[in-house]
Parts: sequence; structure tokens; C-alpha cells
Amino acid sequence: MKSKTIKVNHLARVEGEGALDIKIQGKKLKDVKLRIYEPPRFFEAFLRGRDFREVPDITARICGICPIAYELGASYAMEDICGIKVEGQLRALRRLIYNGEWIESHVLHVYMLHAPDFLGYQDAILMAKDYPEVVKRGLRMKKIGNEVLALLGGREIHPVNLCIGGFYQVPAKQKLRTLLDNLKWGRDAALETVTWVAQFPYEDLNVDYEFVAMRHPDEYAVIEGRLVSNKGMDIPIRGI
Amino acid sequence: MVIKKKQKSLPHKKYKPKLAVFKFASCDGCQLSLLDCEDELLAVTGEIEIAHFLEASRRVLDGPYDLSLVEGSITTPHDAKRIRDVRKISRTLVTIGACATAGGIQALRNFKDVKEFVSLVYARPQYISTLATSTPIVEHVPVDFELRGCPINKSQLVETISAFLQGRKPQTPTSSVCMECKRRGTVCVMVAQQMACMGPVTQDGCGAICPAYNRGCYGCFGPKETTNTESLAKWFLEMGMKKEEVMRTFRGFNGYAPEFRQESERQEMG
Ligand code: SF4
Ligand code: SF4
Repeated sequence: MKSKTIKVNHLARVEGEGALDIKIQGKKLKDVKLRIYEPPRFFEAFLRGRDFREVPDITARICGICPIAYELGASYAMEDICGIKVEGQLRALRRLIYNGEWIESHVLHVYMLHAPDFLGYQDAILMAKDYPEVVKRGLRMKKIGNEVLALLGGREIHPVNLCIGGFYQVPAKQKLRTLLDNLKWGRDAALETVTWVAQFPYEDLNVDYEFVAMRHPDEYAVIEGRLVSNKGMDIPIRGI
Repeated sequence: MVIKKKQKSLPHKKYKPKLAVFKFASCDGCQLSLLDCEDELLAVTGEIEIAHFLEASRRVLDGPYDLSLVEGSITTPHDAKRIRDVRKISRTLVTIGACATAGGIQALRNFKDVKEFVSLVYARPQYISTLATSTPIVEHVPVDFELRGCPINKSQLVETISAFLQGRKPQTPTSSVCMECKRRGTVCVMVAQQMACMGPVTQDGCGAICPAYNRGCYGCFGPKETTNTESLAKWFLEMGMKKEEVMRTFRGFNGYAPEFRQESERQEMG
């Protein structure tokens, strides 16, 4: 039987660095090796001895695409230790900035990192030659996510305004209002995105996966919830 | 006499300079700044050929590259070699961000024992290949221009790319964060509220965001030209900070930059 090895030395359009080797014999998959060569940075080690208030800004630097996840994660950990609960409007503002990050990062993934694979392009810029309006819509959605981040956080990447207990400064209502029109446009654009993505060709492949997600009874689980799976896993993570 | 017919020249395409982006030990934030230029991105790609940018494209064109943006610090033997290869195929090499210009937050290992770090974080240390230090690119190869910040500022990045296209030096300020606070009319958080602020010794470029959001600057753009870190450290001590806190304040995202490093070591020793 003929065997074949596919070697991808640098995986592209992912965050971080890795390589993939796939061995095929005849029609059978023989071996898959994912090699992560992203250099270690040792956050767990150098955080020892730092002031607890410095931690969220430091953990943010784990990833520039989703810094809020790390800033909030660290803040919650410190707040739990100190017995602080952040509720009411501050909690709502935290959800808002986190949603800004979700918009920015998910649009980046859908439009710029993944869609080119489904539609047969090497990247979103080449894809823009045939689908200019689609790519422009994606860029505009992404920008709106970034606007939420910049307004509440001071800047898009590694925002400076989050701290243990909430925010260094809360935004004026008037300023928040300036986001409204764009966000309304964004909601329609998100629906169009779903329709667009639903038409992508998918392989007819069924794997017995265990899918895991956060769940919250009252809201879309972003900052609190339980960890659940389609196979019955259900463990408390935070809040409920 | 035979008159030779003048040969018609072939219609040639405008030459687009080749841009490459390389990543070393980093968080991807600085290269993301390029994709965050939502308004400029498509226009930029009209002027420049993105020839190597793995975060954005799987198309890889061969070097040499006219402009290489390098993110991240050198932390492994493999990367120490790779950066020399990158230099060889880059006409202009610009380092982007605190990791690349000063070693980044991962340079905190430089003050400690990396072997202990490895065994502390990884269950199987034998798989980990790492150097004892995280060092800036300029310690390994010549660098043509450095763009500061953790992360870099988007407008400064666009300015740097345009400057390169026009063959001039990028216009990026070398003054302190304090100057920018004055320009935007932010009340000094150190004078008015006794907050520790690294603004006086930090290079501007962010637009003095932190004081505008009611907190002290934590120095993410690194030391400005000719700093007086000793005087600022004295201020911090007079405000009631402990020596250890002052040491930590200088030992952050740019803690391995010479000026900040010297100050943190002074505080540690004395
Ligand atoms: S300098 Fe900061 S933002 Fe840039 S790659 Fe390094 S950690 Fe990320
Ligand atoms: S004020 Fe200082 S810490 Fe804040 S973003 Fe600017 S340089 Fe970075």
C-alpha cells in the first residue's frame, strides 16, 4: 500500500507557533503529530513575588488576541482571595469590554483566519479581490469590537483600564452612547455573517466528540457559569 | 542605413516592496496591531506585498524582504540562530514591541534561575529547550529601527511603514509620557494624587493613556532618551514606597532595558 507523509512546517493563520505531520497509508490515517515550538515564557514562575495588583496587567501578555480573558481571569482569582465581589454596573461594564474582545477576536478568526480555508484562498487579503464587500464587512465588525475595547480599556491590545475591583475609571454615559449606532449595525452584520458561514462546504464527517462550553442560566456565559459538555459533564467554575 | 525599429518596452508591473513579519517569544499582540489597522489594511496591501506573515497568510514568498518586522525576544538556541537567518534575508529590519526591543516580560527570568523556572512550570522539563535569558533582537543582529511599546502603537506602525516606503526616517517622539499628558491636559496623577507614575522616565508613543484613565504609567514604552531614573526612584521612596516596590516598578515589561535594569538593581542592592 502506498504511504504518504504531509508535513506542514509552519501552521499559518493561527495564534502561536506549531507544525503538523500527517502520515497516511492507502486510505488510512496512520499518524498525526502536532508539534508546538512556541517558546516557553514562564508566567507561572515569574509571577511569584509580584504585588497582587500587578498580576492582571502581567497575565494579559500571555496573549495579545485575548488579553481581557487573562486580565479578568487574574482579577477574579485575586478578588476571590480578597473576598471581593464585583457586581451591578461594574459587572455589566466588565461584560461589555469582554464582549468587545469577543467581537474583535471572533471576527478576526471567522473572516481572516478561517474563511480563506473554506473558500480556497491563502489569506483574507487575496480573498478580498473576489469578495471585497464581505471582507470589508468583516473589517468593519472587527473595528467595532476594537472600539468597545479602546473606549472602556484605553487601547485595543492590552487595555490599561481594568483592575482588581473593576476599573480605574468608569466611562461617561455620553461616551458609551457613541457606540450604539455601530453596535446596531454590527448586530445585523453578525446575522449576515451567520448566513454566509452556514453556506460554507463542510466535510461529511462524524466524530464522537465531547463538546465543552460554559453555561449560565440567565445570560450568555462569558464571565460566569458552569462548565458543561454534551456528554453530561457539569462542574462549577465561577458564580453559580 | 538600416534604421532599427525601437523595441517596445514590455508593460511592467509596479514593483511592490516585500513585507515580512517574524515572530519570536511574544504574545502576538504587536503583529496583531497590523491586522488592527482595519481602515488602512487593504490600502497598505496595495502598496506593499505581504510576503511572509504567518499569522495572516499561508502564502510565503521567498526572500529577500525589503522590510522585516520582528516581534518577540530571543529565548531558545533555535531562535538565536533563526534571527541571524532572518537578518540575512532582510534589507531593513525593524523590531516591534518591548519583547523585541528589551526582552519583554519574559526577561524577568534574567534576574532569576531559569532551571528552577522550568521545573516549576513543566511536568517534564526534559522537553523544554530554553536559554537562561530573554534578550532583545539588537543583542543578536544589527537593527535598523526600533518601535517601542507593549504593544506598539498602531499609528506609529503605519507611520513606520509609510516612512520606509518614502525612504525617510519615521517620525516617532523620543520625549516622555509627561509631555503628552501636558499636551492632552491630563492633571498629573503623581502631583495631585500621589500615585506612582513612570511617566517621567518613559518614552511617549501611547498618547499617555494611563494617567488619562486615572492610573500611573507602568512604563510599557520603555526608557526615554536620557532618563533620570534615580531621581524618580527617590520620589517614589519619599512618597512612602518600599525599596522592594520601587525595584518591582522598574522591573516590568521593559525591566531588562539598561536604564530600568540599572535602577531596579540599585534598589535591590541598596
Ligand atoms: S511587546 Fe507586549 S504586546 Fe508586543 S508581543 Fe511582546 S508582550 Fe505582546
Ligand atoms: S501610560 Fe505608560 S504604561 Fe500606560 S500605555 Fe502609556 S507607556 Fe504604557
